Amino acid sequence: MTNDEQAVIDATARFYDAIEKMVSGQGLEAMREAWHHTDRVTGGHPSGNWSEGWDEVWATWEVFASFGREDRGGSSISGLRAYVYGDTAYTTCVFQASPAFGGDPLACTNVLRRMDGVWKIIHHHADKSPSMGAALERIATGG
Amino acid sequence: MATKAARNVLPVRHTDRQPGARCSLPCSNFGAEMVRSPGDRTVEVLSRCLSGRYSPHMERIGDERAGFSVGFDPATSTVHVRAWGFWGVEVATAFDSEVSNGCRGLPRGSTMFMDMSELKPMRDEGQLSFRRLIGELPRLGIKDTTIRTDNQLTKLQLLRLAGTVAAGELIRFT
Repeated sequence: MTNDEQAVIDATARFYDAIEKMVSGQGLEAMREAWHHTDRVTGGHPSGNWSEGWDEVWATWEVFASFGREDRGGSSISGLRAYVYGDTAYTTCVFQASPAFGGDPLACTNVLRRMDGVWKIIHHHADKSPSMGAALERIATGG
Repeated sequence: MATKAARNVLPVRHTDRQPGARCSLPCSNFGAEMVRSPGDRTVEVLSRCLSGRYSPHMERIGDERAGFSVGFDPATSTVHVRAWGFWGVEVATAFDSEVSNGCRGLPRGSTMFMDMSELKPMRDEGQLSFRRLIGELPRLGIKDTTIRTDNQLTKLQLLRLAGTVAAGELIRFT
């Protein structure tokens, strides 16, 4: 593995660590750090539609974070692979949602960009997960 | 209906923004005309000829990318709210006051239909504004509210916000 590939793997791992912190009620600071904050970032979650630009992307993470709680963690990833093309790279993996968030295994793709020498996420996409939406609706309605 | 009408700009011009006000202009069609006003707000005046009567006037805040509209249909005693896009601060902070204004003088027991199918998850200002409005609905004479959402993240956000106010029990999601 090249140094760039390792750096991309590390940056992606930080992103998924940020998700685990978010769902376990530890806030979004790590998530904020994992992304480049520009108008040219995009996100597609297991629930909802595409979001474009950092402000929209951030608002979607805030929705998920509002469901975060100490006992709702337990997410993980497997099969993380990195493919580097100059200052742009993408990664693939399978994200295992925590039980409280539906528990589905979701195929994911992330695009990263190196800016000022730092690799961060500029695009995230995960499979749709009806069970995640249903689980969060149950939480939202107190069920 | 507002969307359909907005796409067909017809010669209906009106400046009376009171919900349910009768249009004094002759009209043989239905349609809408957007009038740009200061502060980058757009007032959409919707008139519809229906058995010799004119329908409510829809007020629109924002633009095509992000905004909302509100109007009252006296035939069904229903306040229609439509929201779309990713709200900036100006649109978000105007939401509760503009919709409340649109509900002034309603007959008790009116209903509200919110079409939020094109609304993206809101930032703090929008959440606060939505929450304030929901809390005010009983005082405004709204007996129940139906919210339509297509974006599941938006639905989750609205569900959670509705659950934080007592009046949230009067809301149904479709």
